Amino acid sequence: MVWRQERLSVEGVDGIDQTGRGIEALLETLAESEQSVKVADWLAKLGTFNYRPQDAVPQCSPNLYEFFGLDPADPSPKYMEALAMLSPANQVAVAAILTPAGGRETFTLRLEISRPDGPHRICWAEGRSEFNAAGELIAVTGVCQDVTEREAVAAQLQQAQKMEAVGQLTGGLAHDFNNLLAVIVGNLDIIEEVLADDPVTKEFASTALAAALRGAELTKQLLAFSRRQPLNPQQLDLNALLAGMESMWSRTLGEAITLRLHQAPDLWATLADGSQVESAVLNLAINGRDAMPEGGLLTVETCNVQLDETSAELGQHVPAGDYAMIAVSDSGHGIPAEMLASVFEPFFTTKDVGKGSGLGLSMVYGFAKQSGGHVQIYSEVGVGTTVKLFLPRAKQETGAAGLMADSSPTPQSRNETVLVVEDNPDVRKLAVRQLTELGYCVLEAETGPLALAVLGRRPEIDLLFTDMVMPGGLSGNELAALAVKLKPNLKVLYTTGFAEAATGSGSFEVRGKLITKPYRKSDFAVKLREVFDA
Amino acid sequence: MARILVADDEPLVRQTMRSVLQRAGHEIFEAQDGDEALAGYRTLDPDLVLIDVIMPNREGVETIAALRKVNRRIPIVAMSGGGKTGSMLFLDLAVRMGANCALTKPVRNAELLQVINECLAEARVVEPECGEAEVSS
Repeated sequence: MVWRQERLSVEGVDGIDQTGRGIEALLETLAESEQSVKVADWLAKLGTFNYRPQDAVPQCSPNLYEFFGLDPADPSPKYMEALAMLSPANQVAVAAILTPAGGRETFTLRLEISRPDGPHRICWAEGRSEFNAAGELIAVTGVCQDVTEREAVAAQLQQAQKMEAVGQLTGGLAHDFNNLLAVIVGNLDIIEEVLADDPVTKEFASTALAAALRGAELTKQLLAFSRRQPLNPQQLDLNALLAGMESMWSRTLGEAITLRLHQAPDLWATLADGSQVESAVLNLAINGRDAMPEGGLLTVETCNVQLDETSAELGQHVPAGDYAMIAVSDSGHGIPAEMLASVFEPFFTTKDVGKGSGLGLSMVYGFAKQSGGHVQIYSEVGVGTTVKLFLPRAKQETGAAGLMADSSPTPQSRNETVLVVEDNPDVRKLAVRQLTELGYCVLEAETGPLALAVLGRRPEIDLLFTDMVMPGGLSGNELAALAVKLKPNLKVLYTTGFAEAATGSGSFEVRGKLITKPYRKSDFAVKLREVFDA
Repeated sequence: MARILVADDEPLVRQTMRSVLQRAGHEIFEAQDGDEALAGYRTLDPDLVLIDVIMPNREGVETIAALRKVNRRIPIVAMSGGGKTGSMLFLDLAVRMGANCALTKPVRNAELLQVINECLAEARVVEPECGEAEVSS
C-alpha cells in the first residue's frame, strides 16, 4: 500500500497546518505502522489475499507467494500452477468458494500444499466471499497462515499423549489378564497333576497350559511397555553385558548376517536392569535380522553421549545429561517415514502377519522410559535402520570427566559461512539456530539440488553441513562431490541419525568428517573447528 | 499343614488358591479385601497370609504394614498381576513394608507351594513372640 501525499486532504485535520508540515509526520507514522504490520505478518507467517473478478490477477501479500513457492517480483506469477499444488479436496473447496451463492459467505479451509521444489506445507485460510443480488461473485478476501511447524509440534504432542494413554490401557488390561491367567494356570497345573496316569488326556492340559504361559509372556511385555514392570536397576557396564551375550549372537542371527561390534573403551557405567537391557538388545537384534532376509550387516555400538538442552530437542523430550548409549543398526530394507511414528506403539509391526507380536519395540520403549532414558529410531528406506537406546549414566560416575568436558570453552566462528542441507525442517531449524549462536553466517537448503543452486549463487559459503540421506535424488556424498567441483576449497561436514559405526561401507560410506544426531552444541562447535582447521 | 489366609478381591483367584493349597494339605480361609484380611487375622490366627497388593477398601500394602506392626513374625506372601496403578511397583513396596516375598501372577503351582513352604519353615525356626499387640483397623 503506497500513500501519496496529494491524496491526503489537509483541510480540517487536527495538527496539520496549511503548509503541510504535519503531513510528513503523519506519513512517517503511517509507514511505521505499515512496517509493524509487515513484521507481525512475517512473524505469524500470515498472508492476505483479495480477488475481484474484474481484476486480471488476485492481490496477494508477499508471504502468500512464499507459501506456494512463487516469486512476488515475477511480473506474471503462475497462479494456476499454484492452485494445482493444492490437494484434490482443496481444489474442490476453492472452486466452491467462487461458486455463485448469495450474500456473504465466510469460509475456513485447511490447505495442503505440495510444492514440487520443497516440502509439503499446511496452511489455514479464513476469508469471505461476497456475492451480489444476482448471485454473482463480487470479491473474495481473507488471510492465510502457514501452520506447518505448529501442526508438526501438535502431532508430536498428540503422539506422546497417545503413547501415555495406550500405556495406561495396556497396563490395566495386563493386570486383569494376569488375574485370569493366574486362575487358568493354577487350575491347569492341578489338572496335569491329577492326570499323571493318563498321558493322552494330560497332553491336552499341557497344551492349554503352554498357551496360558505364552499369554503370561505377552502380558509381561505389555507391562514393560506401560512402564509397570518390576525393575532391578544396578550399576552396569554395557560393554561387559554385550560380551556376555556373545553366544547368543550366532544363534540368533544366523550365518547370512555379519555382526560388527564397536564398543567405546571408556564407556560410562549406567544404572539399569541388566536382564532388561539384554532383552532389549536381543529384541533390536531380532528386528535387525528380520529386516535383512537376504543377509547383511548388523552393527552394535556403544558410546558415551552428552545431551544438552538443544540436542535433547532432537530426541523428543529427553532430559539433558550424560547417557551410555547402545545403538543397533541393520543394513536392511528400512522403514518408511510415515510408519516411523508408530513403531513404538504396542501391536504395531512392519513384519508379515504372524511373524511379530508388535510388542518388541514397545517393550524397549517402556523399559527405556522407566529407566530414565530414551529410545530413538532412525531409518531410511533402502539404507537401513538404527535404534539407539540411551540409558542414564550412573550417578556416582558423574564427576571429573563431565566437569572437565563442560569447562573447556566452546570454539566460536571466525566469520565463516555454513550451508545447512537437511530435509527434516525441525532438525534443520535446530542446526541453523546452533550455528547462528556459534557466530556463523548460515544459509539453508532442504535438498541436494536446492543446495547446489544456493552454492552457485553464494560464493561466500565456506562449509557444507549435509545430511547423509535425503530425498531429491542426491545423497550427502553425491552432493559433496558436486559441490566441491563448484567450489574446490569447500569444507564438508556430514551428519546422520544412523550410528557412526553403521556408516562405514557401500553407498553409505562417509567420505569425510561426521557428527551423529543428536549432538550437543559444544560438540558441534568442536567438530566444525576440526573441519575448518584441518 | 498350615492355616493360610488368602486375601484377594477376585473370587476366581481365591478359589484357585484354595484348590492348590488344599491339595497340598493346608487349611484355607478367605478374605476379599484388606479390612476382611485384618479381621480374619484377629479371629482365625493363621500361620501365613497370602495377599494381593491391590484390593478395595484397604490396599494390600497398607494391610501388610498394619499386620507387620502387630506381628513381626507371621509370614506374608504378596502377589500382584501388575498393571492398574502400577501394582507391579507396589510389589517392591510390599516387601519393604514387611512381606517376606512377592510373587507376580500368574504363578506356577510348584513355585507358589515352594515359596509358601520356605516361608513357613523359616517362621518355624523362630519362636513365636509372646503377647502380640492388637490389630488396629
